[in-house]
Amino acid sequence: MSLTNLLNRFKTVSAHPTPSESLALSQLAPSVLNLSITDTPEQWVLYESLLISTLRTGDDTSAQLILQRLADRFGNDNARIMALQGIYDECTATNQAQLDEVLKNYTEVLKDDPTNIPVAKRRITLLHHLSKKSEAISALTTLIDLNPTDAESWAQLAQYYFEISMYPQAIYCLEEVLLILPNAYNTHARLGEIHLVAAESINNSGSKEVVEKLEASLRWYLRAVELCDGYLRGYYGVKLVTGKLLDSKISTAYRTIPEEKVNKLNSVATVQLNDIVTGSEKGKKAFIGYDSAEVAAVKELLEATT
Amino acid sequence: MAQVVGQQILRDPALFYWILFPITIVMILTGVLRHYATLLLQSAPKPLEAKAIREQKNYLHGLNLRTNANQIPLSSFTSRKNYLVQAFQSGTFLKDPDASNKPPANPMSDPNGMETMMNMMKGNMMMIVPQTVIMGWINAFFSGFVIMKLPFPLTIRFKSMLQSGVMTRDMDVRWVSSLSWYFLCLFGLRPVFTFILGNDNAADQTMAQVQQMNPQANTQQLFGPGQDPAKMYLAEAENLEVMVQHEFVLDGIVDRILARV
Repeated sequence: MSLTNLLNRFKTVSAHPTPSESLALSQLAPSVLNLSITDTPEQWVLYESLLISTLRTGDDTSAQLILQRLADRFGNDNARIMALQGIYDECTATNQAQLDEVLKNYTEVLKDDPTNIPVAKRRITLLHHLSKKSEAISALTTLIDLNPTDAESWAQLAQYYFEISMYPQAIYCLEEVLLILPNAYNTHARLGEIHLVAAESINNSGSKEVVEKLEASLRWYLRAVELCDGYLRGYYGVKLVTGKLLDSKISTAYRTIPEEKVNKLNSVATVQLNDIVTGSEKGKKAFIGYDSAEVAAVKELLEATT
Repeated sequence: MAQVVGQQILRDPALFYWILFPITIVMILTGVLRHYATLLLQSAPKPLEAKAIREQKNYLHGLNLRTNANQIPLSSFTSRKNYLVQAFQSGTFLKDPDASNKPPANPMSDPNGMETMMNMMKGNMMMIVPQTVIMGWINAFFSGFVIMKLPFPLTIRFKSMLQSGVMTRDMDVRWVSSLSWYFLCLFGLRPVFTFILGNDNAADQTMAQVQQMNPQANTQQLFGPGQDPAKMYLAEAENLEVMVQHEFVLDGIVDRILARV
């Protein structure tokens, strides 16, 4: 297979591949490694992706070889190579002590060069993984102070805050992501989700605050849907939130969106979700690429509400 | 001045092999050589230190807030605005906050500026030296030769361009002198270099000239050597402060979606 074919093969797989997908990718290792090295950016991108896949499936020998070739080309002191080496070390660590060792390494590197962003990010991930959540958050805020225009950092920080139920902070972080990537519809949907979870975390259901949060959630979901037609998560959210808003427990006095509109939105979402479910079950061309787990969740929601 | 139709000059065919060919070959070879020499001489851009990155990225943060303000609710925008305006005005993000009162530093004394200038100088030398040498070579050996006839007619204006080094008033414009052939090669070999060396080559001097025009375009420096970051921060703070119009994109989203179906 040629380089372009292999690259396309990798591109078809989502960012969170299933184990079988990862295995399929990792089994491409021999054909990738047997290609002559042309020193094009594409080839090194391919190497990087393959490294991650092989580490996912436990093919450490191939991973070692890939890493070696990358290091030979870019040098061991290249920031990105250091981070990849770190990933390799983390993956091959078998016990707590070895992970601590890797962490210590990261800290050493960062002491010498605080601008080594890839390694800083590895360190934060590892801290979080080692359940040092507050340390991870403070390290991430330092990184953001250094570079507040990095959407990835903000999104990660939002995730960390969300995990410890600090919803206003998580919302703040996601808004920052929107300032950098104003059309990121997945971030809009995520904001809707966090508003929804925040609304549900309030005990006094039916209070003004809950209604406000639910309506905010609905609006974010709608924006996601506006930016991306056929966005499953967006419509799922619209359906879910409108369902909650129509719930009799919620007092109408606090509502700003009239009930008939909520009703209409609910039916719009139902129609769209129905389309997606039937379309992807029949394997229609326009509905390829939906996550089967997500489609199953939609089906469940539709069955529960009818 | 009457054009002599079908003007004929008897040329020794050796002119073709011993002047036209050598000049072209030499020009291509020097281009390739210059490309590799430039690559060798160019020092890798020095990574910025943490404080410089912080200074630049926080400035961009302000810009982002201003351009995409409508993406976030008014309350979120106002709190961010207040924070950033205050921070920008007090110079929290400046690399060295004390420098704001001093007159702008001489760009020559700034080590980073020196680096860029050194690189520019190297690039210039790579252009000037071979050009001078080749032009001297052509002037010494081939000056005054008419080496080829263009297969198409041209207007009189091209005379000075195509027949430099040959002082013949009545000669048809289609005749090209050796010195002019050199100039044509100098400016016209770009596709050849792209073919040999790839798109991003340093052999072509027109590209290099464009780069010299705006040296900041492809370096990491956001603030040029002469600019004062403190002043830019103050200006940005002012820009943020005067922003009164805020239209949240989520306003009216319900009706927009309903109108769509």
